[in-house]
Amino acid sequence: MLTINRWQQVKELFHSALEREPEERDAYLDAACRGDDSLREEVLSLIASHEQRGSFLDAPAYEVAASLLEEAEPMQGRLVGHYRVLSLLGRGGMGEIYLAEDTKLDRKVALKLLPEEWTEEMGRLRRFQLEARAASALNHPNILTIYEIGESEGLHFIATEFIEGETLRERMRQGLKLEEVLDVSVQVASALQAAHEAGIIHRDVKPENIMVRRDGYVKVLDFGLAKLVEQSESVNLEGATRMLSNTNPGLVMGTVQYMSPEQARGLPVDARTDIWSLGCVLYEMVAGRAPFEGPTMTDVLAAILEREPPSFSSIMTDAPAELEWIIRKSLRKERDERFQTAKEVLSDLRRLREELEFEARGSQSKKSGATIETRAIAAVDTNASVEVAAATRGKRRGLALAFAGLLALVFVAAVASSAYRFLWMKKAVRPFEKINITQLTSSRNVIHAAISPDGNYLVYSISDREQHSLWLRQVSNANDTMIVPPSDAGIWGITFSRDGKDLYYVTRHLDEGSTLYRIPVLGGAPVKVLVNIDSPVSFSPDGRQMAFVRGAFPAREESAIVIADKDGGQERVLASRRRPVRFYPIYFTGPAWSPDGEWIACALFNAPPYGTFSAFNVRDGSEKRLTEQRFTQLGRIEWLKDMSGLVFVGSDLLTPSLPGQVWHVSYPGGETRRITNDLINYRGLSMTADATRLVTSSVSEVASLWAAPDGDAGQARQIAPIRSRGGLAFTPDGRVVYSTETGGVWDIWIMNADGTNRKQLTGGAGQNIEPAVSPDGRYIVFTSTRASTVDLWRINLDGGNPLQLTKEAFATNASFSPDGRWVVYALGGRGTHRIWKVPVEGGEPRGLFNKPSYRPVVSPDGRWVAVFYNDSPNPYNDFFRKIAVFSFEGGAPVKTFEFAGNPTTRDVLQWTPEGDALLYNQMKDNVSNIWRQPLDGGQAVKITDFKENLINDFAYSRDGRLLLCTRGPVIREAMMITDLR
Amino acid sequence: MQPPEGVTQLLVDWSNGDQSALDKLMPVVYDELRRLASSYLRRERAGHTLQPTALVNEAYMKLVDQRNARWQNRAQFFGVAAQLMRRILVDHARVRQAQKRGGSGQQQLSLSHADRIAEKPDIDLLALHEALNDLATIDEQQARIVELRFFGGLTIEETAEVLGISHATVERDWTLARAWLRRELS
Repeated sequence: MLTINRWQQVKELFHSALEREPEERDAYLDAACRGDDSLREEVLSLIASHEQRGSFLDAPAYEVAASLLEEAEPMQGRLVGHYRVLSLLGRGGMGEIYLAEDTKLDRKVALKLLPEEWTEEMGRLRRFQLEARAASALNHPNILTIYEIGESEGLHFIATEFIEGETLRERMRQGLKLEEVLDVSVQVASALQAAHEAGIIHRDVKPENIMVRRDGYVKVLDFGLAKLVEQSESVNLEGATRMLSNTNPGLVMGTVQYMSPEQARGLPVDARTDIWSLGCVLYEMVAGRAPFEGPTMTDVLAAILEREPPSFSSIMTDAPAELEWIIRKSLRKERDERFQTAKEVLSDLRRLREELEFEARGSQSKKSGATIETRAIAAVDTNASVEVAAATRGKRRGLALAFAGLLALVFVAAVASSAYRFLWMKKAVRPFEKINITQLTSSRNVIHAAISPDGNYLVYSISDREQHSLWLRQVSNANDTMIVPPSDAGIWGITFSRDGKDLYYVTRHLDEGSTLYRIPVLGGAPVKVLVNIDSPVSFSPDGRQMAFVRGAFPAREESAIVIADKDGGQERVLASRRRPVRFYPIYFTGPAWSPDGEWIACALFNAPPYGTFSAFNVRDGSEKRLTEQRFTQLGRIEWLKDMSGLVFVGSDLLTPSLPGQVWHVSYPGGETRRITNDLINYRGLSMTADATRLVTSSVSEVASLWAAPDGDAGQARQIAPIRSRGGLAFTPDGRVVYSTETGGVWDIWIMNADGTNRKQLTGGAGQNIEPAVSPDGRYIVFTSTRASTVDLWRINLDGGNPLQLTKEAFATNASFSPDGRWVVYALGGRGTHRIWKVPVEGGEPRGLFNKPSYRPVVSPDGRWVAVFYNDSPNPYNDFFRKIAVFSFEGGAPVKTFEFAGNPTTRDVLQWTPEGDALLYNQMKDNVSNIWRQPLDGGQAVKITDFKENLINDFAYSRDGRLLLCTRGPVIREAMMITDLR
Repeated sequence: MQPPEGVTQLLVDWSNGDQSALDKLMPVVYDELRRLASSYLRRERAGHTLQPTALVNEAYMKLVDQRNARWQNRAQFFGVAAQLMRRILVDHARVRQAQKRGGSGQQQLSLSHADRIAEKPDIDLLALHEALNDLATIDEQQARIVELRFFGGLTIEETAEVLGISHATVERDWTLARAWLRRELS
């Protein structure tokens, strides 16, 4: 035995010797051991052992154990019952499958040997046998025929018909055309229908259990087999974990992805469980990925239980919306909301297939017609397929866009599109699933609107020439009465009292605080109720108390839901949150008191600007999430009368550039569903007491592209029906890169400066907005949601070679430095932006400016960055009232400029080519123009003279001579959405 | 899917110096790992890549309440798990060896691989176990490293994290320990 000291010597010599060349080691050890032969021998023998160690201990113990399995005796040639094993076909979690020969009937069979651990329990084995035999006995062409279930020498086996073909898993690797997807799914649904009608549930529908024969016939395997693996019937909530740990991880990983929420929870299964799994398989056939994925089983389970799979638009497929509808309907977390029978799925799939075949026959010009590739459309060089997709979408959506201010038209199209879908699928109708949208006003300037509890009155505020006024209308006769005359104070947050007799509204001045007033609906003077209120109020069911949001309260970095009695007395904080979590104090959001009086629902924001909705217990302030889905914009929420759900306004993560839409969320359950599906931005929300009608205010922009030579508005002419979003960018050779929308998806395009030769550069990959072109014209950098996050991406000018520049940054407003080496951008949502820069070739981003700011632009000499800037000491003041200029290396502003007028309508900031001034768009008297702010601090001057409409976006050519802008009317109206159930 | 109460607290107590917490912790983790390990060993087929850390991870996820655990607790847990895995595999090997000695000699055709695992490697495993005990008497840290790497399936980095020593030290010790064990076992 070695002593510790001796071992220390051995260690040192061993390592020192190893560091030397082999031929030098002997000499080294001779010298180092100074005649201590046993030490020398010890070290030498260890080195010898080291040299010949091979892979000794390289593989962990488990793997050593596993590798031994390879030595297992071969089955080939063995006789199992009267089947002679020929060769191994495959190994699955549920046993090994061999090709075997039936020695009695002289035919080939597939022989599956069941693992012992699943056959130990006789009762379970018998149940499985019954079910498997029953399924086989159906003699359905799409169900695999079982010849025999037997036992031989303690070995349980199943002999089935032998299919020459491949599993759907293998088949999917080559990609499936839409018609093949439908073909396979119709056959699987047909098998399931037959089985379900006989009371048999598969329990484990997945691509591995579906065989596709060479002639296209589909066979569903292993009916009832999952029953063997199941735990006892009484699996509790921890069942899923237990199931995971009890079975083979590979197997479980495969199975888990297709597992229904009820299986994941260990609840009993029924036919609708198979429908879920079929939905998963369908999704995967179309998307090329499973709907619920994650690095670990736990993550996959969490996704199954809590998340919605990525939408088709975000995963680069243009399979028809109807198919997505079928899949989503199959993947409802609540069984009651899914298709209830396989028969329903089958008939919808068949109908879709017929419809597409019909369309395909209609378009003879294209070979195999509307065989729409369901696989990913590469972003590059696929203009043809993108066009096909756009055409298809266009056909479905009707007139997606009109640009002549015909809001009504846009509207009809949107409603028609929904109506089309609802006619197509006759389903159990859920709240606000079948709707009618009516435009109530025609003023173009409605900021906020509310409906009385009885639905008889509409009250709305109007913004005209920077002044707000409040109006009352009797819905039945469209008679308007002004109740508060125009003034500089903004009027927002309109709420009726529960009895409908009083009206509460909030006024807000730029510099003064906000005040809640009450006024009798049928005339009277306004009475001040309380101050410092940052949302509409919501009344308790008895009407005696109200809840509202207050920012910078109780402490500066906090915000709170406050409850007070209806006259403003007895304030108490129900719940407060510290930044970055906050009740965002804007007037289009706000709390909602539940009909049972126990909960107050409210939007809750978090940084980066993702938010969701929570409900707060009125007694103790405790919070519960209403949904796990995150939103980039959140508006008002309201309860349905029966508390089966809530309705709210929001814009989800994958469509951050899309306007706020009206959604429904189930309660409890938290499943979200979009009620509206159009290009209109909805804002507030109020509901009648019976929850059959809701009123919201809408904003629609109907812009087109104008060109003004020499920047002269008088010579401006409309050159293309294009809306653009945060970035018209000139290339060095005078072309224009822009982002525009088709069918609800924003993509990057390029065109000549006269609007001709328009070509799409991105497609089928998320929302793509705000392009910037590098000074050398090599690259375009833009904001994209293609990775399901909001990040900057770079492509070549031809659309190729995409590269992600930021990671989960919520990065927007990209702008190049003049040397082309950096991209400057804003991080976080508007109101909390901070400015960063990242190398164009990729690399670590660097923070530049940590004050609330957005739209950074670098000066032509590369030394300065200008931004829209908010330096209000009040962290809840969301007005960006200044332009700030700071060094390109970062730091405090060296210059700031204050704007006059309305601070809410500026979007674009540009340097003049000389770098001596900044240009921005600004609205005054309902018209926006471009203004020039000299850097030397002189007065800002209006440099265009448009007489109407708003400018959304503008760019001067690199020589400064041509002005391009997208402009048009912004139409804001009160809308009523009626539930047609 | 709430982890059972107690394991997290025991880990925390242990890291606060309460040695009795470890004694209470061991049987719980042991049971869970044994169950996991046996199912892995029995069900895993050749051709799949085994990920032993995944196994310990599953046990950790199952047993420890992530919200209340400290970051050190994960390393601790992996340390305990490796030790326990060694015990489990060695126990398993002993049972197999005993069965063989008293062997009825019957050759059953069985799909349960538990029977086949044990034939030759049991001896290796038991010998390794004993050699590792010997190594521990002259260099405890090296024995621990082998335990973590071989029985716990940890990488060099993870091992360094668990023991709170540098990667380089782990590498060096691992090299020597392997050479030493190889020599002892040949």
